[in-house]
Amino acid sequence: MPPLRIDLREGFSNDSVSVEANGKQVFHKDSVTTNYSVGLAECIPVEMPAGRLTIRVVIASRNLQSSIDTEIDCPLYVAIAVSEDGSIGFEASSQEPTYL
Amino acid sequence: MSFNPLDPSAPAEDSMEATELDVEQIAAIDASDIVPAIREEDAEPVDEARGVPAAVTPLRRISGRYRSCPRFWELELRVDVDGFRPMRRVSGDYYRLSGATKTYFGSFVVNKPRIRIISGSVVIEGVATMTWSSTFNRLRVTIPRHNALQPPATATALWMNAQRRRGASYSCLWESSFFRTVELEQDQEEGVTPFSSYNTGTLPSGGPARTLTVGRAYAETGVELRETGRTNTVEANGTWSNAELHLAMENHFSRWRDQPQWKVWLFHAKQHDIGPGLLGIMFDQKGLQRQGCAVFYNRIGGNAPTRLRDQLYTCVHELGHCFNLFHSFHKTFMTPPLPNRPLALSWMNYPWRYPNGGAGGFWSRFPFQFDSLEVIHLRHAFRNNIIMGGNPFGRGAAREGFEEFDDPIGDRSGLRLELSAQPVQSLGAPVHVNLALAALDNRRHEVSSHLDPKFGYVQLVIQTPDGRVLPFEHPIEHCVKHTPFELTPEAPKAIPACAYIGYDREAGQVFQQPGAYQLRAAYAAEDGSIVLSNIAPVHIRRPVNAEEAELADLMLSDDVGMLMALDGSDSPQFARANEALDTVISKHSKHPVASFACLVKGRNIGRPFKTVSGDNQVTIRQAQHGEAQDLLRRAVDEPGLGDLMRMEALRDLGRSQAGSGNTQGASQTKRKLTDLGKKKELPQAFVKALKSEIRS
Repeated sequence: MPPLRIDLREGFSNDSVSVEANGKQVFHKDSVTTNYSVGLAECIPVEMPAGRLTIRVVIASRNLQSSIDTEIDCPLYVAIAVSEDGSIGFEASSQEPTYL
Repeated sequence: MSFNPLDPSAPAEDSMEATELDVEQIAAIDASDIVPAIREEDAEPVDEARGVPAAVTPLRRISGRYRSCPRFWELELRVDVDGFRPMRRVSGDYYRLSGATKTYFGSFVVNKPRIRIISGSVVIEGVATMTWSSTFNRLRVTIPRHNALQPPATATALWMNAQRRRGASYSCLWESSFFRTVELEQDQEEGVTPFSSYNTGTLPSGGPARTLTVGRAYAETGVELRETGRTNTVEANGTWSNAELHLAMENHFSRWRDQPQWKVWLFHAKQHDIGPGLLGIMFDQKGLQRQGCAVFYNRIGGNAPTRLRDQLYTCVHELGHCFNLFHSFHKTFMTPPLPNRPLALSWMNYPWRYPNGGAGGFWSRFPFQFDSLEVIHLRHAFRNNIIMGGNPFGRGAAREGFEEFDDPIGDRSGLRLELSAQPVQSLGAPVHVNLALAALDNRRHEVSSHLDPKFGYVQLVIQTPDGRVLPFEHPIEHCVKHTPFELTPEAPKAIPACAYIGYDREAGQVFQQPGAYQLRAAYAAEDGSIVLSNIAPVHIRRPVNAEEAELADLMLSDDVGMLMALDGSDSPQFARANEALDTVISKHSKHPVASFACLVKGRNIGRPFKTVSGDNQVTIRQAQHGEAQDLLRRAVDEPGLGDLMRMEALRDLGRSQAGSGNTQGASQTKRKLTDLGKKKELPQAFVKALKSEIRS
């Protein structure tokens, strides 16, 4: 089972956030806020079998939602950020992201 | 060898190879470029036979920290006008003494001092931005010029009001060549070898080779890190959470107190709970924040040059957070926000996020320093914006650097920001400015399409007739997606903006007294350059007749100011303001101010307006196109509006025409836009953008 981690990055401010992986809720929190010392709000480790993967994020506090389809066959790190215009962005990588 | 990342033939911006500057050189820049300076001091004696200055004892640098004798007030004065990367500022903190207690009172900074050499003394004078309110806001600092063999001179700080009446005066003894001194305590987890030093010439970089410790990196910025020498080794099992790090700080940081103080803790550990990808963190973000940070060696430990470089970078970076510095690419998330500077070659960036070539591109250009705005913050931030345990992380981070009328020592940005306003206006006229950004060279420049200060890419400061310097803030913060606009040799001008600046979020009506105002704007480019505009004077004249007196009364209420800033509103809160504008339109229709009233009213009724009642019922007032078009035509046809605003009014008229199905009228208005744009030689991109908003 390849490791999967979902990082919530910049743009979160006291937000109610849910994350689903292949339809199953893997994270929910009512007050998600980015820590700008590292640019991270949450790191969510998820256990998923290899294969197709759909990650859906819902930011109920702002009536926003978006999803990404990808393949998981090796370690996968998915970063989710909210931009200034309110859009949700995804970034997927097989390399563990670096923060400081 | 360092170089300019934007121009291979230009010297590096903020080059580390730049020699230290004498205050005489700074004063000469003042004299030639900015204001007429009085230089009464004799020139150095010249050996005429050789045409070079005769050998004389070098003069002592005057930049550094001074302190007054503690009486009722104690002043810590920071003078920054010569030496290494002078930021041409004077700042200070006041402390109130009572018995055996000393409490912080307030801070100030003079961002545009005039620097002169008069009778053997350096005289630095300017209007201060202060944390307290006083009419004695003009500061003159006088420091006799001593040579290197003499002891440091005493600085005299004299406050004055706008009429130059003398206020309080302080004699301040020289204390240090550093602007700040902070105690640093470093502890380590068992098994971790903490970073010691790195020679920046070991690997390619953008600055001169030198051996840097963490302390030396900060010393180059003018901040002294004084080691407490109380190093502990902490036994630990497993990884660290932020809560555990905080507790470790309380237990092991010998200087830790739950109060603001110039003391900081750096912990060298193996790994955070988040994983080896987290190289460091400023974990102290509850209660009194920013007193401690940690660096994790799991991934960057060892003695390989790249590892040592990463250790140095991470240590300086995390301590930068303790000084309340945000990441270069997160500046928009500060309070208040500043534009991001992803191209900044700064300790506060992420090398791997560098837009010009990622980590490789970053390291080959990085001179191992903070960018200029960060240096200004480190040296001159108001005390609570920087002291550990002061304001929460991100609040007041690096704002001071932007509240300025200051000219750069050098400007190789290749951009010019033009600011203009109607130079003479009657009291009560809504003051607008035009902003235009242009390329000065043949390089390609990516700039913002949004120059209106309300979007945050341009900051505007206003000097009022009584000498106060007001950083203008639009009452409503507008978040806008960054829309880059490329300046090329073929299209060297960006989309200009016309902005209403008559009403400020904090100050309310800005131009409510007659007199001479000065405006200046600054554009923050993506590479961290600050492009300053010309200074635009605006004279607000007194009403010359009863009509103008009444107009001033009608226009200068807070409600009207806010209504103008909102471009109109149906809200009952603005009923009286709307009545005032109606009176202007009906009773003073021939006065130029009436055109502004027509524009705001026309814009508002030309669009639908939603009203949400207390029981969440939504009522929509539909656009009233006929009346809107009458008002907008009056705004366009009558005198009053400037060229840019007239163009925008035509766009609004065209939109309303298109919205009401009058496609023929909308097409005619588009043609008018084309004609007027050509006649006034406005950038084609501007005309095109306006026309694209008319969807007929």
